[in-house]
Amino acid sequence: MKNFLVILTAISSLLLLTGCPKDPTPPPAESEFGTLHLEFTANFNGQPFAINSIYSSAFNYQIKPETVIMLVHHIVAKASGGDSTEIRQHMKVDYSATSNEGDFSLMPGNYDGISFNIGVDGSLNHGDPSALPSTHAFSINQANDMFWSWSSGYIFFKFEGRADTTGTGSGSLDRLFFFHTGADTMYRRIEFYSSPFTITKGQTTNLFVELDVNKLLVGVSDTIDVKTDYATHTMDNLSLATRFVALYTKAFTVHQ
Amino acid sequence: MSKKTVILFILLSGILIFNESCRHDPDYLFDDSYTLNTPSGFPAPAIPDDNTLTKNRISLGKKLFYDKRLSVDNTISCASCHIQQHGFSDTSSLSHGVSGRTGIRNAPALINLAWMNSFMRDGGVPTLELQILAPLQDHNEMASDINATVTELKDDDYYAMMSQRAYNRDFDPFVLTRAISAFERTLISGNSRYDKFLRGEITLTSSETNGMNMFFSAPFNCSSCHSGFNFTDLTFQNNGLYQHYADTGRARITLRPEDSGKFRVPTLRNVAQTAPYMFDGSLATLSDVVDHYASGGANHPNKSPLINGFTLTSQEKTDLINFLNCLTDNEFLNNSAFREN
Repeated sequence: MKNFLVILTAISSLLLLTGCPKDPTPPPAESEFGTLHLEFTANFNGQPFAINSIYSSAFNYQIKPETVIMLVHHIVAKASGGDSTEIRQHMKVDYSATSNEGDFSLMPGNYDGISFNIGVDGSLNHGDPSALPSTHAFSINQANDMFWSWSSGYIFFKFEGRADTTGTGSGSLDRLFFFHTGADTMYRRIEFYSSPFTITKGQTTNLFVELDVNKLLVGVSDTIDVKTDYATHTMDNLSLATRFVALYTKAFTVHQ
Repeated sequence: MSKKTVILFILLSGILIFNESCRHDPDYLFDDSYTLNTPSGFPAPAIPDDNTLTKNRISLGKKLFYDKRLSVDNTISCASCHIQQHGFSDTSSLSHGVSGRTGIRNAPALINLAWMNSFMRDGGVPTLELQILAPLQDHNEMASDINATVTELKDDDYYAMMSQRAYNRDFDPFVLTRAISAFERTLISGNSRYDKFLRGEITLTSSETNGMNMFFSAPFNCSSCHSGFNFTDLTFQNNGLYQHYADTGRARITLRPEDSGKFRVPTLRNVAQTAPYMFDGSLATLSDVVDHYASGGANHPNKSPLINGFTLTSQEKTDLINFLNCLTDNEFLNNSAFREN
């Protein structure tokens, strides 16, 4: 019995001394971080933006945006000369909501900027939104209005509204338009790695990703005339969907 | 301690444990397991891991299948367009939805879905669970929002109780889609006159036999696509119904021009009961269908090379249709297990 106790003590001591020799360095305490406050905002050609307001646009049209929603996947902050950190995986940005923002803990230091993807990557795009937790931004509870149940895929970007295309400002707003883009081939990465910011320990840095809603229709080399090109569910009007995606990838700016 | 005392102690303990179990769990003796009745000659179906079949799940799904509260105005249930006596299909050319709206396609038969590898006539939906969302949220069908539907139904005592029993969670979109799928996977047809013939239980008439021989041979080529135990090879084919398709079918999903006008080859089980035919219900009778294939169909660049037309006598046409009638499974069409309680 005495021998047994000696052996047991020896083994226990050995385990205590040698246990977990390759444990990773513990993560820094929360107090070591700073905060990035990231907010998605919008304007219309420089004017404050609000859903259901009427704005002047190209061709002297009056435009009334009624729905502007996008799904954002993999928001990343890139440290200067260092690694990228995914600060949020999934986010639904609905410009009719009072806020589209989040606070994210980041290591202090200089950052080149952020990037994000508009859409849902292939790993989730053809999954079952009813199987995701109800708190998930892409779950059927949160994003049912952004899911095509007839083809099992997400609508990446939804822009709907009405327009007065008479060019006279009659205010009739008789042209309904909608742009619903999706499909794996429409998944787009938006990078702002030349928009640096600094994270300071214990402090909050504000960063705004601003969408110019007018640029959803009006670009440098292409302008969509909603009098003639006013509807796409992507599959039924692929060329218009492709044009629309090209426009919205250029419609964002980042500022502090 | 004597042997008698030990035995008495064990017996009393057993009785006490049994009573305690029953007191806390009234379903202690209820066997919830369910074995799918797979007909002979059918392969084992692929049942998803998160929706294995149980009696509670199937019961819950059947209740939901017949519940008109799934539609936005409580007028349409799944069963409104999927009628058992018609092989869980519809007699209308196009589905009828809420407020007199009309869908864009003919309601397909719900038969042997446990063996399907994708859903909808264009195959755009990869799982049966996901497919439940399509008619429920289609503006021209049930026009619901699943979250609103769940909000309405979750306070229903039956659904609340059965959801816990079947899936061990509150009633939610996951439960709704899984339960209806579970019920639909039980809609198995494999006992037609043709099946009985294959099992050696009956003989076919000479007309049926002649029709069968035509079905399985050139120049008719029916079985080139309508093959296997379920009379479908699950491919998507353009059968030359139109020269120009307003509904592009499979191309709507794949975006490939070469898929334009292609639709899934449907099962022919119970085909005599599932009129009208084709993706848009444009052919009213089996006679019309045979005439279409005999004509060779309209020219379309994607038309299947197997559809070249053929000639047949009036008697041969009757024989072919008589064989198709052999695929009617009256046991399936009248199975009380599938009826609304």
